[in-house]
Amino acid sequence: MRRAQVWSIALKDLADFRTSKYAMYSIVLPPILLGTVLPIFYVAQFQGALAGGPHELDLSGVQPVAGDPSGQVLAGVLIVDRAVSDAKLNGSIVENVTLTRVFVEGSLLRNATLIDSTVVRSNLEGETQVTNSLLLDAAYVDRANPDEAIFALVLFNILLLMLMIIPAMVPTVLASYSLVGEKATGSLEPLLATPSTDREILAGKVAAILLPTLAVCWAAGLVAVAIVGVTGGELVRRHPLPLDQFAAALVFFVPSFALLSILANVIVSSRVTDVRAAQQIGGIVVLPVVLLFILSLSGLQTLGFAGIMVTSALVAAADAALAVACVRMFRREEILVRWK
Amino acid sequence: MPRLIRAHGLTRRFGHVEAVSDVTFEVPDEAVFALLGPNGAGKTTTVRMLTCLISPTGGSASFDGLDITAPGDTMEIRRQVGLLPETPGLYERLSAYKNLDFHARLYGVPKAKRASNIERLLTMLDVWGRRDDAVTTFSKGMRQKIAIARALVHEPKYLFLDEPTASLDPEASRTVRDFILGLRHEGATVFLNTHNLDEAERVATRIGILKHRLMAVGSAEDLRGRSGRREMVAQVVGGAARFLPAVEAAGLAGVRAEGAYLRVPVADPEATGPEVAAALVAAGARVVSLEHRRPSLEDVYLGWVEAEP
Repeated sequence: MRRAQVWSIALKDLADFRTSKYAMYSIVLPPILLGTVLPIFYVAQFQGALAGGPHELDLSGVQPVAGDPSGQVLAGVLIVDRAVSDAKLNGSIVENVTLTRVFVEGSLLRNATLIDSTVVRSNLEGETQVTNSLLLDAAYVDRANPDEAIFALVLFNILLLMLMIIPAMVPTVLASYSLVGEKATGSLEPLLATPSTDREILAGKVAAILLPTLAVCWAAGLVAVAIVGVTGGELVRRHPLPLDQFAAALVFFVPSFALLSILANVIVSSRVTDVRAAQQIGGIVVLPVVLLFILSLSGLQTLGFAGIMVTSALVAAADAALAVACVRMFRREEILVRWK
Repeated sequence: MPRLIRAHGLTRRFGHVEAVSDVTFEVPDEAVFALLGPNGAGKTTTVRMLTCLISPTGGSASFDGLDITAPGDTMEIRRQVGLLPETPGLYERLSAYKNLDFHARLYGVPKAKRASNIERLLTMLDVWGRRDDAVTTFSKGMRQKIAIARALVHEPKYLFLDEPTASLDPEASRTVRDFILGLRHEGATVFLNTHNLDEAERVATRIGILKHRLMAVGSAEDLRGRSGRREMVAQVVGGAARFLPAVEAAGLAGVRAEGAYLRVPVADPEATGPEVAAALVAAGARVVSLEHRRPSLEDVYLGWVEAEP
């Protein structure tokens, strides 16, 4: 394969993309939206939800409770080393207490065990065991809120999935222009008549789609990480992004997934006759990614470094299989006789 | 050494349909060969086979010994061939110059040569002034000119033009035709697909009539000579019908009377012409004119094509 031939074809396609407003919007808008707006919006949302720290509570006048507080409505009491059930506590301090079916508001709970209970606008200290209970605006005084860990995980998943969505979306539009567009305007035939091999033409077209896809994907990834670093503040310092995993995703996952999308779109292009149909059918490639997105958000799990590498390897294997199919399909004879 | 395109038994099937069947011809150096045929006759398929875009299912063809069916030769044939497909197929958003430059690069034309070739061709075709404009702003005729320039930008030995004036207005058609004539005078070897008889007759040195199979090949003159449709046409004063019996009595068959004209099919005009004249004069006809009318290329073409199922 002659690099000069491949590069000439790639450069021509890139020049063609540059002159198409629609292609340029498709290249630039998804990364801007996903790489900037999404992290800003997400971080701001969690900043708001987790802001405030421990509540200012006036517990100066609490008195030790007399007798069994179970079944009572109490305010300003101190309960230590007890089990309390079916009660309502307000402005109180409880230490080493097991609370069953208790409603707690404006109180401090140290080493509490909560069973079927509800805690509202209170501070938690030490170890808090929670079983089937509801914590509403409960602040952890001496350690990070466990919700922060979930925030960090979901944020990372969002960034990771952004690195799947962009390489799936951008090639769909560019491939439709590069292949179906050429077919529709009849420019493919004179190109096929040149002394370029089928593989050189295919490689040039794939390179023309792959290069801008990688560029915008990497740019969006780096910008997103920078935005999270700047806007995440204390939350991100306590739960830094796993940058090694993110880097692995950028280096391994993005190219393999972009190639998967491009090759799938080459196959789609051989079966349709107009650019819009190619984009619509090519968009189906994005569907599995959207499903992954939803599953990942709901499952609260992430791929991890090994997961990213294994996924990248699996996608690369799929790339190889698709590449074989594309090379077979992208032959002059096939294109002129069998392509629609 | 003279260049020669030679096709022998060239055949292409698409499933059960035989688009091109057992086509054999030769195109000598510096000739303009026109392949005439109705739509769907297999002209484009023939060009695609010759330019190594699709392979034949039977037979072969060669360019100076380079075989279109030999994988090792196809790349060299593509280098030597310039193709103008049925549709110009230009990159609409790119400029005329960039369109040509891109193709010249793919043919490995050095940078300086690319620039000079592009300037020469666009100047010849009178579009140099608009070289930096996007093709999308061009008229059909201008696009066709750019596409012709693209086919020539690498200085091919053989030029294939598939319906170069189809869908062009008369003025643009004339420009393109004149350009082909110019190429002919420069000694280019041109293979022209057309269903425009007038165009074929004006520019081609040899004409092939194709309707899936090649029915006739030769110069326009040869084809007329082979058609057997020659006739003597006599114009007489008054109706010609009353002189029919006299002419038929002279042993001439198939005579038709049309108003003042009497049409007599002839095999040998030099022998039959005087007989017609004598018979008419003997019958008292006042003969205004008597001429030997050769068939038009259209007559020849339709004769061949209509005879083919």
